[in-house]
Amino acid sequence: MSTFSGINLTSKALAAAQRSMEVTGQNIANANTPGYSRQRVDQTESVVGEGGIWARRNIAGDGVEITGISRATDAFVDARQRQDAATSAEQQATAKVWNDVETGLGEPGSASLTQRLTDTYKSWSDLGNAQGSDAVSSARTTVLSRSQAVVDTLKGLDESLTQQWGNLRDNASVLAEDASGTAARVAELNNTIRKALNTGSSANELLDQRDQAVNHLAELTGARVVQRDGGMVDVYVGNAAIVTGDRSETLSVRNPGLTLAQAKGAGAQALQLQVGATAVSPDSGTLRATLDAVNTTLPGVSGKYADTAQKIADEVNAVYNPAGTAGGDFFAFDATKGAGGLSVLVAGTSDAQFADSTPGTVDRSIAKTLGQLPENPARSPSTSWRSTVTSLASSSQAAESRADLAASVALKSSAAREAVSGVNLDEEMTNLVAFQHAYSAAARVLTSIDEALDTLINRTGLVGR
Amino acid sequence: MFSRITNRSIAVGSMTNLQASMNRSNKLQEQLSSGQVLSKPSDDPVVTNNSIQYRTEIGVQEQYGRNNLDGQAWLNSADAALQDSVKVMQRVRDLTVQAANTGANDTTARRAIAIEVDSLKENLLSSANTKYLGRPIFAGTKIGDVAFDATGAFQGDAGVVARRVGPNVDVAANVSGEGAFGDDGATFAMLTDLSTALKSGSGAGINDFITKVDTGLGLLKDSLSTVGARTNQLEALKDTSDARVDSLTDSHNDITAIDLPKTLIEYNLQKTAYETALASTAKVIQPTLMDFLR
Repeated sequence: MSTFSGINLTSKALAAAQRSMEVTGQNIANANTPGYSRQRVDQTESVVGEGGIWARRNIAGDGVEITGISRATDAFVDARQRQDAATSAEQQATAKVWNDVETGLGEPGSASLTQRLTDTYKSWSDLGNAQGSDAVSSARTTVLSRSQAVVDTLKGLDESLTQQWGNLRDNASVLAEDASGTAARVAELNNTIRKALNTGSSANELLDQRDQAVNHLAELTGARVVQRDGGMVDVYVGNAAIVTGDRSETLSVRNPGLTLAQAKGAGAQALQLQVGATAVSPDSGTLRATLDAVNTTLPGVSGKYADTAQKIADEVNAVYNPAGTAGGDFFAFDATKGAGGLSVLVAGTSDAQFADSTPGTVDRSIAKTLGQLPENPARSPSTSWRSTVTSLASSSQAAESRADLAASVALKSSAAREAVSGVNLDEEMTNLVAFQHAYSAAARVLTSIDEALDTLINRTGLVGR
Repeated sequence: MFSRITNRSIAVGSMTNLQASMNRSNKLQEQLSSGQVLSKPSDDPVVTNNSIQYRTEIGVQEQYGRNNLDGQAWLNSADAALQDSVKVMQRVRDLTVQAANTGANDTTARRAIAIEVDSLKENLLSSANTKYLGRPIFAGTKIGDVAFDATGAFQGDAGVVARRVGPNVDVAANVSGEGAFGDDGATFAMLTDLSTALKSGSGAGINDFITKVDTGLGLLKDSLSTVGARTNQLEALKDTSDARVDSLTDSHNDITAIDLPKTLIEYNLQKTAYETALASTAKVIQPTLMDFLR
């Protein structure tokens, strides 16, 4: 113990209080920074390590020592938040796909396919009633234009679906690129963090940034994180590592030029995510939702549209051309083109071009029978369309409620993370007051020691002067 | 469980709740402005399903009504034509009776009667060739412009012009030409014979024609009553299909249109809740310890 050890002690106390105030300032500054984890100064009382002949019994400690600045995080809570956010991102993306599909339907409404079909049945019935060449030819024109409206409506549905599919397919590549970039950034941060930790400096802010990047990767691909030595993390998508220490792999999309016809044709091809050259399937996240939509959901919907077109063509042709004469059909349907492959074959309204009666009569029995199509649920195209719409609606509703649920779960786990790592301004203010008082008190101790020394140095030995 | 609450988590929580509240308001506003419960199928797949079914069914029933009116128009034309024909035949009967009572030597009088019968035959032929919208109503379903040619021979067929006026209910809107005017226009042939008999010789055998004219008249009257019965049937069915359209439209509106008072009240409740949430959020977010430290 030297005469000046007290000054040394207060100097440490002042430094600790000051550092604590600085960290509080950092916390307050980042109170609203996404992904920021609050920090604390770790300090411990300093002990005098003197022994042997220097050992004294009546000696105070050696003040306070700062051991480091720690980050308030909980690996378990972080992992859960990451997983829940990934699930939520996947469900949101799926719900959006369904929402886009059903918005295009226009059901139920006056511009819907249901209405178009009903109008067509009516026009057939009117033709069935029509007599006299003027009335017949105008009734036939109406049948043709209403049937064309059905064809156009189906074509429009199929086109908007194809467009949506194309957008999603391109989106997959963009997302994969985003994931690649983010993986590279994680690897880079891994490297920086290792260096920082090796040189003994604080890597707290870098760790926060890396957590953010990893979370983004998880939202894209449902990536899993494994801690490794040197403060680094490895990131896995499916069974493939996309980040190993300071190295990252490239994510890309296999078959980026896929077409909808290929995706739903026989021996369907699929859009796949690949790490390097290895195909992987993302566990969750936006990419998984996008790939599912491109490979399964939208081809399925497109198939249902095509089934409806096929049904319309089959049922109308069966009545219109019962003998199956070549070229005598009302509708042509090209299955390879999906719902857009439906077209009206009848070219004009003359008796030779338009077969609405039993040959040799004007009974219009064919037109009448076609007008009665909706009476028979088993044969009515409206019935099969109705079940398609209902099943799309149910799928969409289910996707939406799953998305809502996943969003609220993600919100809860993000709140749980916030509870561990978030900055509470009241707490920081309280700490600030405490640190400020500690600082003032330490300064006061210094002043008293100073005064004591002043007394010792300047006022001793003056007796009798 | 005690958990740390931070200013940010309060802000995020408040924001989420405000968003949810606003979303509900938006949904109600959408319903109020459109007047429809559904804005997209997934709002309620069951209602969507029923709505499509109702729309199709309403279309079918409306078409029954249209077919029915067309059938009635056909029958009305047939009715008018047959009424005229009955009048013509009654006049023929009067003349035949008159001719039968004319003295055996009064050839001039019989000749005059014969000329009138000829012209009455033409009238009858024109009634028998009555057209509705350019289509001869007694020609069945055969292609052609007339039901009976100038000689009175039948040119049509026995085809039925049926109108679908209810589920699986087809009503014939025409009556057979042969049913009304005899097999292969027998009535016309009989009138020709009558005229020939009147013009030639003594006038013997004219008496026999009275029965034959009565047979022709009987055929017309039978057809007329058939037309009347069918018209009645169609009128009754029209009422049925109209009532069905009304009830289907009602049911459709019941499930797809909003309950205005209920939705308005819900909207106001939602608005109040939203405003309360805004006010309380403003109060909760503001204060921190800073406000109370000197």
